[in-house]
Amino acid sequence: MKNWLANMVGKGMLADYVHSPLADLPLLALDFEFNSLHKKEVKFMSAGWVTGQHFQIDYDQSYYRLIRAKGDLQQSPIIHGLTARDIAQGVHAKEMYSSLMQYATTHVWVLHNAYLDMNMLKELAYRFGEAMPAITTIDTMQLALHKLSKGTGQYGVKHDAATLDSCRRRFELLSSPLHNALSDAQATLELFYAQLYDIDPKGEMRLKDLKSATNAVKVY
Amino acid sequence: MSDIPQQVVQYLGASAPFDVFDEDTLHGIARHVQVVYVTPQNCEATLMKMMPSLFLIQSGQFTIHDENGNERFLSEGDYFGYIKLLDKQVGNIKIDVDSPGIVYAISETSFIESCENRQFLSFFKAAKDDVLQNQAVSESNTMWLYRPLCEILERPPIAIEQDVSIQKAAEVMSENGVSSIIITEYDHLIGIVTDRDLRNRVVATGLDIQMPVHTIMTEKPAYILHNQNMFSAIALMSEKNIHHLPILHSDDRKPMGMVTTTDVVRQQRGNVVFMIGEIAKAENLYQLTRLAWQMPQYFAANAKRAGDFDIAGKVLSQATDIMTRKLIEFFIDQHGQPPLDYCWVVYGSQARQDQTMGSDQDNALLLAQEPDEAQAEYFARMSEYVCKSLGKCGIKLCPGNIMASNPKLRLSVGAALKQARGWVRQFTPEAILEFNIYLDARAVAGERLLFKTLQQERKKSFQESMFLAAVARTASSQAVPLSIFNKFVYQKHNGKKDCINIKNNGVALINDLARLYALSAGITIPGTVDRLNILGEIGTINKQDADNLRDIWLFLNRLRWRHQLRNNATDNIISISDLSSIERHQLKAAFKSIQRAQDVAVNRFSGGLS
Repeated sequence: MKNWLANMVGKGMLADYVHSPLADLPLLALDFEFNSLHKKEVKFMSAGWVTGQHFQIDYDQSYYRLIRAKGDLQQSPIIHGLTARDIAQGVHAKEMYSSLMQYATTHVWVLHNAYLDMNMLKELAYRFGEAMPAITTIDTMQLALHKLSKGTGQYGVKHDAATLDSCRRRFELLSSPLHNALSDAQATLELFYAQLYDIDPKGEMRLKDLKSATNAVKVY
Repeated sequence: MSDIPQQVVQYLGASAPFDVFDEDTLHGIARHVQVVYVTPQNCEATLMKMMPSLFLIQSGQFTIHDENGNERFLSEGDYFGYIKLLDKQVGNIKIDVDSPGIVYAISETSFIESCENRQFLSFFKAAKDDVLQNQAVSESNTMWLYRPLCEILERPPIAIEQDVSIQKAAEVMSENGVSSIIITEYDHLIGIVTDRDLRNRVVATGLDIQMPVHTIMTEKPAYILHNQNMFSAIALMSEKNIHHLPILHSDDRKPMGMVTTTDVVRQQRGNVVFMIGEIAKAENLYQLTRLAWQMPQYFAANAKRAGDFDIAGKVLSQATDIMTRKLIEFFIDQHGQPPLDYCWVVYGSQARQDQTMGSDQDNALLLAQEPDEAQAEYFARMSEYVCKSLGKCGIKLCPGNIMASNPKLRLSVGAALKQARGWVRQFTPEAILEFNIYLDARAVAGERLLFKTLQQERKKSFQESMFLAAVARTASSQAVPLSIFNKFVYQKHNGKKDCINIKNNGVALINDLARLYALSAGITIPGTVDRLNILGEIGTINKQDADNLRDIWLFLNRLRWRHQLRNNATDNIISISDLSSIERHQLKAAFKSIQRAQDVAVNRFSGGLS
């Protein structure tokens, strides 16, 4: 715990927020679409993010890009409704990566299943011969599992109970019609706000408290 | 340039009136949208700071005390904040978060730009006015029908004594600009004279205009008491085919004024009421059934507005009354005068005058004394004929056999009184449910005095506190269809999952409450709206609460009538998806109010034991 906090504070930008309530944190919710879930053959298809703070979401810095790709695309483009032309028009993965890294030390990142996305990002950085900076994340899936397992024990949780849609349904948030990285990023941030109010209605928790109470806070 | 999540554009595009814009315009608007997850804690710091803005709720439930001070319950798909955007002069809104959720804040600039589209602007202008209209049903344009005549009277009665000359009578009429005059003897009504009488009985016959006016008057005219309402006056005028109806004070029977057809036409907006006049003209069973079967189509064609639904139940009950009187007339024509004084009494919805297309008949005969065998036979045949013929006219036979054709429901006044005393002694919940229906009663034909005697005699017993406590418990045992989280509790019906029985779970609950308070106050008038009006006036219920319950009753009644007429249905089961977003909120608020009123009643009559 000392390590992650030191990392964050050490970078300076987030230091002001260490003692602030969670709602005050500058957040970046993000999502990617991949062509494969295998780390070694993965290609990023698209990336999307929105920023928010104080239970709000605004679109000043929201971002959505398709990623230009070479080689086989396997099955995923059909699922995500992308055509070959869309993909050809996208930006290079490196360009997206650079844009994203501007938020590495200024925002706490919010993801649904952070483990997958962050490891894929690390892999991407590795391919560019770069080391990804330490990034503080909150995982909405872990928050959901934490709550679900309270009642049932973790092994009692149904396998599809922690998908983004089923988590949102429990808070009566509209199910998102599209599987687009930007839509899912917004859907994730909305879900986080609902979870945050559920866990901490009085707004007193800090990042540190959330980390010790759940498995949802991690530094990658 | 920033990118906008597709669901924001889609949600805007799916929410009227944003659906008038093309995709590019919607993108432009969405760019200036702020999305907030609103909680009770952050509401002040977020939404209040964004004002003035247009707010669109995507999820969650909110109570808004709007710019005009009205309380509104809003959820998914509802807007607020537009009143301030349209009218800078109004006050600020106050928001209570009932359950947290996502709200889109659309900037003032975007709103103003969007208002350049006429359709967009008129949507919010109409919404703004709607809020005002919804303030109270009591201000709706048909409430005049329910108002006592004494409130509608605009001037003192125009009356002269019977020995005054015809010429003087005509002078008084023209000085006052009226078409009829009340003729009195010692200040009491003995006749009326109309323009038509002057023409037909004086001018056309060359009668001496110095003759006393009583020589040309219509003697013993029909009249109405001042505490009756306009609706009853119209019904009576239609039934008797008259154009002038004197109003007398209910205590001393002194003339108070006159209702004329012109007054009616001036006030009348829907014309469903004129069906009554048609039925009154029927000369035999065949004509009566033919007219009766046209009623559903007649209603469907003429009852379009909310105001028409308010009186539809009254019109239908009045029509059933007239059919009953006609049928009794037909029977007497064929079988001779009744051997005993009798009174035809109706119960339940017909008594309350809130019949709908699906209502069945509930009636009984009250006899002046125990009949002998021959007398009993006469009334058995009369009841059989009337009930069966009503059935032929489309008023369903009662499945519970609460009909005069059932010998148990042809009682002498004495036996009926004994029965009522039995109810008061045996107030198990089952027993109360069984005799509840008999507590809303009205005399429709025959000797009304018999019924009045019964009512007066049994009134005291019904005011006993143990009895009222039991009735209060029964009245509150049926819950409104809301969960503890204030969500509708649905039932399935005809393949639809989101149905609510608006009669059993709404209208009937208010009927029960109004009946309870009416019993406690010794009020024998059966109609729920009339009861609530009186209860509020005399202070048995706080006036504001009584008015609120009455407005809710009228609202629920509108919903059930609209459902029946639109879907050609006779049930009371409405689908929530058929309601507009604003009606859903009103319905929820209505159920909450009923729930509160039930709690108050249990507390008041049973000391909180339910």
